Amino acid sequence: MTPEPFAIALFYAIGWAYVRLILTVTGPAIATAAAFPIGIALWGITAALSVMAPFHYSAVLVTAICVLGLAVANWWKGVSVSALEFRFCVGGLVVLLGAASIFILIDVTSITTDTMFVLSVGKQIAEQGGLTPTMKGVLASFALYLALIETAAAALGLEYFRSLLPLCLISTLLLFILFGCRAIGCPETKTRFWSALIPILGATILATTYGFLWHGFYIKASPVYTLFLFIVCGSTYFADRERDARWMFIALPVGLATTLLRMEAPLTTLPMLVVLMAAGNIPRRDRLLFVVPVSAAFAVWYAFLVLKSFAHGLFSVYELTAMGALPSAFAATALILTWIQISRGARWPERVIMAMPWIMCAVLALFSVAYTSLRPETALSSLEALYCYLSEPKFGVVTFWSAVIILLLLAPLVTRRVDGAGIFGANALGYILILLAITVITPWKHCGSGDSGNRILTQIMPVVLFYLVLRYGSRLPSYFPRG
Amino acid sequence: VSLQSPTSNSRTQIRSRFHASGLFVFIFVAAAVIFLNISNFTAISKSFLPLAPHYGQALQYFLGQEQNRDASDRNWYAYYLIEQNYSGWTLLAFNREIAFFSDMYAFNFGGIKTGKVFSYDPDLTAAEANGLLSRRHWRGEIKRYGSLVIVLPESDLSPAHVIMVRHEKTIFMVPETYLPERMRVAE
Repeated sequence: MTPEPFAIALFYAIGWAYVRLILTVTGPAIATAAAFPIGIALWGITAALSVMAPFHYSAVLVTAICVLGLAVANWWKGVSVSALEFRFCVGGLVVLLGAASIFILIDVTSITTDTMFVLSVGKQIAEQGGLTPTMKGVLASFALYLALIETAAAALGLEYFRSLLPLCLISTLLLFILFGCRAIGCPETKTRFWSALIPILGATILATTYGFLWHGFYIKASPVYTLFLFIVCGSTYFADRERDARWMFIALPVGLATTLLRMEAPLTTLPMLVVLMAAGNIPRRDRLLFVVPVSAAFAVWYAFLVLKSFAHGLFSVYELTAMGALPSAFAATALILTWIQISRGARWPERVIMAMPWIMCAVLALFSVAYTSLRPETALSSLEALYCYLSEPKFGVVTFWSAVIILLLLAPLVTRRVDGAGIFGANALGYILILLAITVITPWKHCGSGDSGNRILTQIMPVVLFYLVLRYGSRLPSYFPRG
Repeated sequence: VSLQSPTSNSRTQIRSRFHASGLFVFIFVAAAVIFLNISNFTAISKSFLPLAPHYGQALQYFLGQEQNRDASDRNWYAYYLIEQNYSGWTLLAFNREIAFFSDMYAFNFGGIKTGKVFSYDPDLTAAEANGLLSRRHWRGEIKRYGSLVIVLPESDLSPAHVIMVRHEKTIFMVPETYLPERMRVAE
């Protein structure tokens, strides 16, 4: 009997204890689907704080802190458990454990050497009670999230969690459908079947795209980052559309956890922060309450990495410092513009903030073009490698990206503009342009599914597709009567 | 009463019809993608197998494979041996590079507790090298060293110092107590 289901149930319980505080906002279905992702996000953040603290690291202590913190929060702010909440909570747990059991029983995970480094570090953190001086190389080479979460596996005597990443993949697909239904309005219309069909088809596209599916079973942080990115974009969209800032409570833990998920996370998370700051229907204070803590978390975590890994590993001290400071520079700009707006009553700062996603995209596009023209040898060979990955059928993404291009080209003709869809559109565009900028400056890029740039591209797939789901699904034809 | 002209009204209707067709366009494209994805699934999945060595207990398989014992597999077997034999030991090395298995990855991945780099005489005589080779050991070809010999400690040795020494183009990783007296490093 493996103890893995116990750990999965614990992550779910932690997440549920958090989401139940805002159950009236999300509804029970989305809360159930979001409980596991939020649980692993909260556990990961607490583990990162513990590893930074000057005391002996223990997975048991991390769990105890999470449980205690959420118990206090529920005692202070929580409401009594309703029968509906109980049914959803138990139902979600049964489904989760059922899926976990399948993945534990039939081990479908795949590993590479990079996986081994990450798992080994997790095991050592658990055994040696924290980071040791000889971990310098890995601290500046690989994101630590997976190593931290796998300390829980080590504490339970497991090599690693076999079901954790496949469950993240399933959570992404499930949230894709639930977010899609809510955005298109499945429960309110008489055309429930037709409006549910679009997100279900979208999720099926993702589930059958081999390049996407494979990453769900590859022991790296890719599926977690994909999931968290999608949750933040979805929460921003609903907070903006429903003018309810409480959605940001869903976005905050997963947003904070993205700091630990990729070494380039400060770059790839930047569009998320910029777009959220420009979401005008969310009160300014609430936007800042997300952007400032997440940016500060990046700054603190990267400062910690620089100190702990000084001059070791793949990323230099300068690169780590610059990346860690970038979100803070944006947050500082947003704060200054807000201060000018409040103190002088000027309108232009808000206009600048609203235009920031497009300014960011323009700057990134210009950078890629300028760099390619200045250093064509490096840039063109990297772009060729990217094209090779996208166009080779054996990597299993060519149909997905072809369909995206076709749907994007047809969208202006056969769909109308949809309020808020730009949140997904700008996030996806900014992310892809950042990837292009990283690609042109990366001389070692290669054509393969294991290449980190190609993995980064896989992570944005749900966001890109959800934009298209919103465009194509939000206005049903008039001959489908609405309720 | 509509203020729009009949022409603009019919144009709006045409546009509206076009917009309404979006649902069917999406369903058609999605169905095509899903069909193509599923029909190509088996062919694609085979090409991924080299990246995924085994579906089922991947980690155990990966570590235990005989074929992973040489440099072409990034010396994973060496890391495995270190984890099995030297977890919790302190590594002493005569330069920084020697404490690494490759340019980017530290020795520590095998479970070494801590590493210290400082100057000492690491050169063994031929007789001393042969003496170490008579002990239980593993030898692997590693691009940056030439050859790496990991001398395996007896089970009764408790974690202490493990020292990197060399003879010609062979690097030895040896428990301090197995070295000649003159090579035992005073910190």
